[in-house]
Amino acid sequence: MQKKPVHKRHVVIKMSDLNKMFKENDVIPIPKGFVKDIAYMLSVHGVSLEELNKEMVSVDESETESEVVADIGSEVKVQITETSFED
Amino acid sequence: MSFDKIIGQEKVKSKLSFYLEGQHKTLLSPHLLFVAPRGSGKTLLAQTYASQLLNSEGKKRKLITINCSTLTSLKAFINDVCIPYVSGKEVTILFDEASEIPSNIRMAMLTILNPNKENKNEFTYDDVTIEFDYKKVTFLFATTEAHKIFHALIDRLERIDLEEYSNEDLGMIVQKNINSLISSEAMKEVKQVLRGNARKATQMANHISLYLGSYDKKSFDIKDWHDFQSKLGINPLGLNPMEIKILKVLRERPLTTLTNLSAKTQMSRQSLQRDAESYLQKLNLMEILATGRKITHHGRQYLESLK
Repeated sequence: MQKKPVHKRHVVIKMSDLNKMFKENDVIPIPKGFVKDIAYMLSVHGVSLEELNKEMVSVDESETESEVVADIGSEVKVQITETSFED
Repeated sequence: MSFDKIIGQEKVKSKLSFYLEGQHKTLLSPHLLFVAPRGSGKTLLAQTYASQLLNSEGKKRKLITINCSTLTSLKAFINDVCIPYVSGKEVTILFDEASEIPSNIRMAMLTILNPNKENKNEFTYDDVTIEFDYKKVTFLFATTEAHKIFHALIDRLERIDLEEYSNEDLGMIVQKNINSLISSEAMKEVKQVLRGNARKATQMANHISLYLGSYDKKSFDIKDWHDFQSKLGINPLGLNPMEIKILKVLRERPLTTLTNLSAKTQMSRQSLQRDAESYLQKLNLMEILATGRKITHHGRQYLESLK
């Protein structure tokens, strides 16, 4: 597995390497502190983490998950315009 | 984009050209704060400046413009702006409406923009550390309300105050945005109603083009102006109906309090002070004394001329 350090406490891992480990329908546990970031990144691709979790989260954990989802819903997207200038 | 295409603001353009020359040789540009009233072209100037900043390969850098009223948290700033657009990239970031930057991001910017010999800083949030190398990243800010920006942040920026546009500049802006000819007599009238505002000049040019287009005309003369003025309800000096109402209320008494003016116009005190009174005072149509508001002789003459 190729790893390349980018920040003091981060490494990057190639998706192609991860794909060797996982199959299409595998479920990956994600630290709760990182859920909002993942949900936001997925929403850009039209995927809702809320829908995924309805199917996968067990009943005794659903209360906590719905709090996170409510929090996700309150995120306001930053309005950014990217401009490239031709040479 | 170059400054040649921007009308007026000669001192500002000269200063910015000087910074650009330096940036092309050293890759370092000061972080700039553009301050001017609404519609003065501060965003256009900032974008034109950004369009000429180079990266280490001598190519033009990308510009990322952020509408600060949508920038709600430091986390969003780090995750949505810094990680995707700044980390390891060469870029210019423009904070438009910079007075809206939330206080925690303002504080982060103090660290990010803290001047030092190395011309770079690191900022850590949660477990992410981002390097801000001024040879790779330049921050620009644009605002109408510089007083709302934290003084320590202003100290870290080079302030660029735009000059007031002369009527000649505004006339040139109108002419530049119209393909048809405007007679000098008509232009004289047009300039009087632009309220010293470059954006209004561009809007006026668009309206005149629309007028000429709809009547299939190639030029705009004084007769056209009178017809155009009555169709669009343009008042002398470009005053809006609310400003005229304020003058009429002031004419009723020797002195009027702000509370009374607010009651009669049904505008809030803040709105009166911010949106209406300043232009009327600028034109010397009303004055504010310690005891109240008062219409001037010039203001009375203006109302007479409307009859």
